[in-house]
Amino acid sequence: MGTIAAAAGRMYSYGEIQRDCDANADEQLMLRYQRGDEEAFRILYGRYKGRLFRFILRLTHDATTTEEVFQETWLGVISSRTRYRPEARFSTYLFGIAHNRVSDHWRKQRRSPRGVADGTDEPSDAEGETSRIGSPHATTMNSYLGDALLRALYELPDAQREAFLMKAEGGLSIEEISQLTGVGRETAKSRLRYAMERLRSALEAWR
Amino acid sequence: MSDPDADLLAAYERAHRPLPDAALDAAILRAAARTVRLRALQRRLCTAAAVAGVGAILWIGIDRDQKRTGESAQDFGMLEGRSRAFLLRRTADAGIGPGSMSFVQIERSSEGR
Repeated sequence: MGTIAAAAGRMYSYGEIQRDCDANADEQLMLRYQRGDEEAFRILYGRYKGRLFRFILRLTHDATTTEEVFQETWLGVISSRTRYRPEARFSTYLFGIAHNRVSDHWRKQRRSPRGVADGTDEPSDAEGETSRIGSPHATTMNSYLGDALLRALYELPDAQREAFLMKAEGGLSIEEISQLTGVGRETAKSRLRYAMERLRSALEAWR
Repeated sequence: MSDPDADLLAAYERAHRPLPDAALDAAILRAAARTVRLRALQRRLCTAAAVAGVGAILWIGIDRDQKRTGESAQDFGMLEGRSRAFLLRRTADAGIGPGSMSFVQIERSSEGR
């Protein structure tokens, strides 16, 4: 025991480890940023930038809009930091802001989400995701499956796609999705179920 | 209980995972830092202003107190109600009392009569 302790330099108690974990929890990082800790924001941004970027990109399917909405979302987090209260998970808070920004964008564009309205607006191939299918870069089975999944994802109605992306990228629960999208729990649950079924059948067809 | 959609989510995880470009990262991190620093500067300025305000009030108070003390000690004739008592104390050391002519002269001259 003494040897282990000496080799480790020092022993950490469970309380210390727990405290360290808590200090680096998203909500704690946001509170630290609220108190002026720039590094806390940097960590938080590093954790969520990819997930949020993909959420917006795969929802709007437009590179320029994605950059704009992505930036607006983070600027929203920055400007409202003094009002932040850790009443919900930080991911719910962040994806909630993003959801509102995307909705604003859709309103500005006088376009309702596909699947809800007429669906005449064909989205552009934002990041070349769908055109990458079958390219020399996509050589492994996983890549092919991933590309097939993305193609199926873009074919989903916006509401179902959003529900899927909130779960896949934000790790949100049905209750959280329901709360953020302003629909009942059952609606959120069925949107997610339909999305999963369609994606699963697209994958099965490919296999 | 495990997620029944875990395999689907895992397949999604293996798909193309684009990230924002470095310029966008830098712009957002810069905005975050600028806001925090601006807030810190505002807080420092507020603290400095508060300290200066309290300092000014204390200085005025001390200054007024010093003037009052100085006048009572040196220019006894000009102070309200205290000149006679001060004069009595000072002249008593020299053996001059209120009945003497010297005392009356000193008292009159200190009161400007």
